[in-house]
Amino acid sequence: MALNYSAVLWNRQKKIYDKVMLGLIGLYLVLFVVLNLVFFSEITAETLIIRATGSCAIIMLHVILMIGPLCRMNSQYLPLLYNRRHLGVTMFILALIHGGFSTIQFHALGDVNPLVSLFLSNTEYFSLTNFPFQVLGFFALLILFLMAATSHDFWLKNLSPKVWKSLHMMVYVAYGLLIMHVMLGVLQLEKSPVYVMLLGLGMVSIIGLHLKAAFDEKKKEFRPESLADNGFIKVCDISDIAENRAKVVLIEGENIAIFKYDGKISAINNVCKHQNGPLGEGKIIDGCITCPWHGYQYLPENGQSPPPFKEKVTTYDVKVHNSTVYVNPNPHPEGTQVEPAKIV
Amino acid sequence: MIYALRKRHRKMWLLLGILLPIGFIAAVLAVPEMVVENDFDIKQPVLYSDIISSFEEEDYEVHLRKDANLPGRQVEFVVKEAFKVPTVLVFFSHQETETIQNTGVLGKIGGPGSHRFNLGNIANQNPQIYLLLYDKFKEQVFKKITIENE
Repeated sequence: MALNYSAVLWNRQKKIYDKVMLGLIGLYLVLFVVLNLVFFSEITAETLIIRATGSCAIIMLHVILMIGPLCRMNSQYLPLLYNRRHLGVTMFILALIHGGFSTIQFHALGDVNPLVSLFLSNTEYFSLTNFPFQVLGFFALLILFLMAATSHDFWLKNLSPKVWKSLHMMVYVAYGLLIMHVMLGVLQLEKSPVYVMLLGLGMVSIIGLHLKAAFDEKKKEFRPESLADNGFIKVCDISDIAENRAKVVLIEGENIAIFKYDGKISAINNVCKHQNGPLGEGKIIDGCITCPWHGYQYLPENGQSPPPFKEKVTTYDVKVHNSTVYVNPNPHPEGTQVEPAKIV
Repeated sequence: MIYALRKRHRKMWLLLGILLPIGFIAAVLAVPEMVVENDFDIKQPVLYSDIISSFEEEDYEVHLRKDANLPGRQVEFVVKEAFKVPTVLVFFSHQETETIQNTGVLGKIGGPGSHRFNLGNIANQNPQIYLLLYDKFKEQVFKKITIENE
């Protein structure tokens, strides 16, 4: 969160995150190259680069796609989410090196335009065994490029969080394309079942985690049967909400986070203005509701970011009666001051 | 995530959860039992011992060969630098020609190395052998070679 424009908002956590990431990538690449030179001494430098960067990128993509559902199921994984964008851009750079070297190696040494050659040198589009798998990689790389190019908050602000998030959900399409790129490409020539099994395991893990997280969340959705007379709806007992934490409810399409803090109850919209992060999964730090994704903050009683920041979310009326919490799902305009309900 | 995006997310993974395993299994089933190696080297004929005549370019040489113990003639391409054309086919004719009509295909030339094609006895009588290098991708002849059969 920053008032002034800065290309990258570096802080200690981000630097540690990036150093660990680059260290692990470096370690993987060195190990890959050394093992290949030991076991396949005739391998060329170009082939080594293509294989090392391609395999590293697909492993990273699996890690990236696991972070989201893991965080939704267990908040202990949230530190991994904090700087996932750098992980994504680094993965794209590796994929780009893989794609670039592959295009040069297989399509740029003739007298045909490499892109024309990519699409037309093999036209067996109806064959599985001989499918032109490089085309799948090309389209996946195109999606990853769009994502990497728009990953900065500049684009998030200008495209709007909804459009930006929709664009970045294209990563799932890219993932599907890349699984088939590998399966119809290098693994059609691979005799050892180990690689197929590893990729299958990765794919099952990703699909399983995403579906589990999605259906767990669906179960948690709070849907009241009817509105109370005065517009307030019974939500839960006070004891159901941990101190400085929230209970999230979905009422008539309104995603509401009801926070308990300092003997008070306040309700704000659950969706962070930054990247639509789940505010209700965050906690109150220094008197501010803090988004678990990237640390954007809001005051619980008015949904405003503390000055000089200008983000605002809608607020809701709440009341407490006989230790039961009630909320009125009709939102106040963004940033409207609402008197917190006192816990007696 | 907002509710609508969460819902879209769930639908997307339900779809991927069905489609991806199907694609994955289909790809596994499509893996060929035996990977056919480039059979060029396997079928490469024995090298004829004597060179009758040669034709030289910067990136390749062509030798017309004979052998006292073997029938007919042999054309050998010694490729020094890979062709820029991705797929090169060699056509053979007894008469000078610009196109591959009424010619016979000898085979495909691959990367650097020796590529040999036997012409059979019929080539013995011809004073000259005409070879056409054909770009399969662009479907056009890109080189005509005339080589003396003396």
